[in-house]
Amino acid sequence: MTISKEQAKSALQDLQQVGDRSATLYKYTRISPHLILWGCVWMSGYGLSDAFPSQTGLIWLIANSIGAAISIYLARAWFRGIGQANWRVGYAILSILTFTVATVAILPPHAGRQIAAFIPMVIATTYVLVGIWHGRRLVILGTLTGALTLLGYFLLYSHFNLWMAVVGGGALVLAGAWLKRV
Amino acid sequence: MGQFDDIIHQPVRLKIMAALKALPRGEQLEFVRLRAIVQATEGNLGAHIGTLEKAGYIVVEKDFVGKKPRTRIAISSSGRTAFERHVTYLKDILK
Repeated sequence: MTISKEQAKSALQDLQQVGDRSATLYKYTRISPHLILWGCVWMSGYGLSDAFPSQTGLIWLIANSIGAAISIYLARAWFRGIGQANWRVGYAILSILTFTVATVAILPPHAGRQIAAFIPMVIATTYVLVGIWHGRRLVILGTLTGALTLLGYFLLYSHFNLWMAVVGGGALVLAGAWLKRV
Repeated sequence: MGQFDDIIHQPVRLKIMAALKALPRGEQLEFVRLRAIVQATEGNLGAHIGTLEKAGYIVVEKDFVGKKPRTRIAISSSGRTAFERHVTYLKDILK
């Protein structure tokens, strides 16, 4: 069979397009359960912080520990086939954590709510940056999370924790379900 | 080295192979998701999957999730090799 240059070019373009779409959707399905999980963590963490403000530190320690443990469990298959690219993700997470801790140390917050808003902003920025490389839906999620956090912090300061529990946590859960869709 | 593959070159089959090749080794794609990526009808996709399976280029696994049937498809190592050779063949044409 003889294939012309045009036919070959068109076939290669199709391959590239389909391959990219498949890879993006695959990443979305891997990220989706983590978003739903962290949406639930936010709901319980912020919700309980609103109900028991004096226990905020302990609440977040427990909520984050449970969230991290389940996240690692969910990602176990991915870690099994660990390669250079996946180690890069690990280093990126470590860098973001270090940046967050260092920023809080350099610019200590005057109120607990500052840190409660700062961390979601770091997470939102991370989603946007990851999305620029790996998929538009993450850019939308990051932008939405950041906007909702700022909205709650500046306009609903006294109900910020409740806002983040319902709207922030809810947005993550819905975004997780959205990423599962083709 | 590039090699033309008559089975893979058919447009829908080419897309199926490209979608499966984009996944990490050993990962499967559900039929419904593959149909959305390839943008083919259920019957058309099923027929092409049958052809690729017969050639040994893909592995099809059928099971049930609760009462719902589920079909998952993965590229085989011979499928991966054949696809890579076919892509090289296409790239060589452009040189």
